[in-house]
Amino acid sequence: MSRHIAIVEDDEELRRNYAEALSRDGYEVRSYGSRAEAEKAFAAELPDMAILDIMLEDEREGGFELCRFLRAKSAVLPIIFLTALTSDVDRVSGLRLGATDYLFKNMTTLEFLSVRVRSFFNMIDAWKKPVDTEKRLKVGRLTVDEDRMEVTWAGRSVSLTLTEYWILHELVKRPGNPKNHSQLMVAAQTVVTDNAIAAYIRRIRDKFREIDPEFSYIKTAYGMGYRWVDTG
Amino acid sequence: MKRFFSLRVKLALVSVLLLAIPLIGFWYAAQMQAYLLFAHEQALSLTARAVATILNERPDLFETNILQSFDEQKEVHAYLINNKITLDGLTHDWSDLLGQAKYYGFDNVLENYGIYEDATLNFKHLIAKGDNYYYVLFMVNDESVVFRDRTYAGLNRSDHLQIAVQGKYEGQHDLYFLSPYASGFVNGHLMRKDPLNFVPERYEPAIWGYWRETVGGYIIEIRLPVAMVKNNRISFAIADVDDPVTRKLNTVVGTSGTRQSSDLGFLLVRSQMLESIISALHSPSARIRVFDSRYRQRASVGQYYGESDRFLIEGQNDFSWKSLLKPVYAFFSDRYKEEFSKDPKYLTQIEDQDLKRFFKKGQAFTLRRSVPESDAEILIAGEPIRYGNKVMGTILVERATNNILTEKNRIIEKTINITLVVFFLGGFVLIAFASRLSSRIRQLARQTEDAIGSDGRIQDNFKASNAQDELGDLSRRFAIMLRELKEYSTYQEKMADNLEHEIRTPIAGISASIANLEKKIITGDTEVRNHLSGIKENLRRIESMMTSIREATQLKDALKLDEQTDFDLKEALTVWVRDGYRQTFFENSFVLKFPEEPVSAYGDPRRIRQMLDKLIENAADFSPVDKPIAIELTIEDSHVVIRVVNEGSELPTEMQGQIFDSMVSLRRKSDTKSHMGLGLYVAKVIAEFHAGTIRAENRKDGVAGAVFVITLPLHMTNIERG
Repeated sequence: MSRHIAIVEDDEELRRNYAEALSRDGYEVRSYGSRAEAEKAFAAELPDMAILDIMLEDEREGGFELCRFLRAKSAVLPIIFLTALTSDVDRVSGLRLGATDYLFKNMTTLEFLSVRVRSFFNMIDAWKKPVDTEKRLKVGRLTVDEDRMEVTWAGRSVSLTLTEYWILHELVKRPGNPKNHSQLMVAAQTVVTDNAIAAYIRRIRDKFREIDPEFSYIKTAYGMGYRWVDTG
Repeated sequence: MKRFFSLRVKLALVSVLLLAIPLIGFWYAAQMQAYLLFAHEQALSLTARAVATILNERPDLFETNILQSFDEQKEVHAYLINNKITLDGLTHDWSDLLGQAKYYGFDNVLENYGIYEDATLNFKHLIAKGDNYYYVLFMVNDESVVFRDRTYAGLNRSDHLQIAVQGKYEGQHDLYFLSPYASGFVNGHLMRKDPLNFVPERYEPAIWGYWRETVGGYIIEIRLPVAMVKNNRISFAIADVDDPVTRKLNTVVGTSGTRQSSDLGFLLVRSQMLESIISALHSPSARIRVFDSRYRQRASVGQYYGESDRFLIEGQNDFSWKSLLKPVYAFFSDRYKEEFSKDPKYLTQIEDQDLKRFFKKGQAFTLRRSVPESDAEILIAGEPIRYGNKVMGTILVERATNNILTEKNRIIEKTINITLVVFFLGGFVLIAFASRLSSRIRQLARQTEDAIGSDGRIQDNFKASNAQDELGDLSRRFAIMLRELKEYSTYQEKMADNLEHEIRTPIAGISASIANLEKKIITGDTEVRNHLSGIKENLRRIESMMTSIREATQLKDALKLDEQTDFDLKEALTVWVRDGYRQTFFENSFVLKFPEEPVSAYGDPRRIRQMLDKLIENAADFSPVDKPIAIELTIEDSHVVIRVVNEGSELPTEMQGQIFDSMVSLRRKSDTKSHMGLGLYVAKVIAEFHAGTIRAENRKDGVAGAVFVITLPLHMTNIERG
């Protein structure tokens, strides 16, 4: 049974192209041009994954509304936001919508879309299997379940988006080794500016600090990159 | 900010205008004074007329004197007295009248048989009328007093007093001599009609008194019955004998002759009849006097002075706030005396030319005469007394303006009191009002200042006032203005977001289309692929431009989110040059000049590097490849200074201040890379966020080229983040 992905995007060109690419990967894609249309369909049947544009027609936060609508129905449904604006990412985090990831609408989006989608479905599959403790990465108080993409700090779960997870994973893979921006960018399957990488790092730190205000294990290496400092 | 001419000070100055209030009071007081003076004059005039009306056609009241007295020299004025005179040769019981005593000397010599000088003989003389007697006082200066000799029956060979009165019939007179043997009581002696016989006819007990020798003369105090003076004709004379051996008569000085009946003088007594009539008409603080046609005072009732001056500054007897203000009151009010110890000369003697003229003409009149050393005046009203067509005399009613001045001063005092109260109360209220106003204005100013946050954004903290006045209005207008401004800036921000969204979405769409298209081109048609990569390259440029604009405009906000740490700038620079710049700009060479010790800085190393990236990129662009780019790190005056020095073209002088502004670029348009002119602007914002500065100048070491200088605080441990 093929997976069912819903794309909600008001730009027809974009919608059509994304749908085409995902279909090519073997997914069943249903696309919607407006929030009303999508809500109607979601009420009848939930997709396996939703890709939502934030600004839908005249609604600046139409995607957020839709996200809330979906989250009310399912807590585990992967939701990926598509956005043209960097500032939206901070807003997504601030609103605690439970988004699974966000993608910038840019030239490289399509290249990385299928990778992400696949990762999500792998993750969902992993959750259905019993926990394989061998696949766990343990660094100090940090535990990373590579299949489930689950991160815990001192036993408490840290909810990271997919991009954030990939960046963190890259850092903790070799604790103490600095990773520069391009290395992190490759790991995160995205093409963004240095400042955007810095923003991801900031948001990762913030999420850890919510659990442990003393958290300071991600160090800046003279502006050349970042490293995970394992103080044991 | 401290201003001297604040609203408070200005209103305090304005309140000084309140001090003009007393001018109204003073003006009113002056008006009242003029009115009262006029009213008083009218009243005095009416009194004078009333008295005149009663006295008109009553010549009997003036008796015959008016017709008879032609010679002022012969007049003897008698004063009315109430107290009892003791005949003892002492003057103290005359004390009130002593000042009025008339002097007789050289001008009054009746007979002289030797040499006369004033010092030889002179006397002062007073007559007062008691119930039934005239009391007569002589104060005689005589260098040699010669008493009567008991061996001689005549009375002419010793110092003696002669009194001549009219006899039983007109044309005839009786002559009395008084000459004692020693100091003591003395009687009169009626002399014989034979002028050469000085042995008295008889002893006259009715004339009786006391003769007291004093140093340099003697005092005689006698009385004689009123009835003895017929027709008011009387003469007194002092006869002087100086040589106690020869006892020859030396000089006779008298009021008028005693030898002939016609020589007798006139005794003028103020008419009791008149005064009792006038008393009925008398009003307090006014004096009514009756003068006959020869300006002789015939009756006088009352005193013309009035109340005392309350603000006359004498010894401080009591201390109160009123006594403190006394000088103030005194300054603005009039001065006058409680009473006038003596009539001004023009009133005693009727010497005033105006008075004399009115007296002569027999006209009713009013006059004002000043009182010396006083602000008071004397109001005088006059009215003639007529007998047929003949003017018999004049009524004078006099009144000092003391009570008017008292009234005026009272108004002035009240005015000053009210003014002071109003001034202090009004001033206080004005100052309180001004303080309130200026504090509200300052509050509004502070609110307005705070309305713009440190990031240049409009804050939502402006509270519009509810006050229903202009300031409240202003505050509400400000609130509306700020709200509209905020709405506008929010709209602008949204506009930018929308614009970016609208541009990025189609780019993403095109990119996706290309990506899908690429999948469908199976065979490598190089030409098509070249076109596609050209499109992609252009799209990438548009995207990166949009990103850099976005990052530059949101830089200030983004900086606040950065993680600030202490770090060693020297080590960081070493790493950046080694792993970054030498790789990126592999054609150029870099020269580092660093100090020995570590250089501690505080901030986000990534941002410091971002700032440096721009300068290095700039230097690499303008520097010839074979010339090194120098990076110098020094510590100067507790500041970290980073210099990026390159050779190459100079900076145009007029651009040196501008190149850090956004959208200003020195690059030629033909450059292949897109330059928005944002890099140096970003560098400046980052430097300023780290409490530093950045400037560009030309090299000063003689080599053509530019130096970019960044100055940062040495230990930026406590910089303010926002």
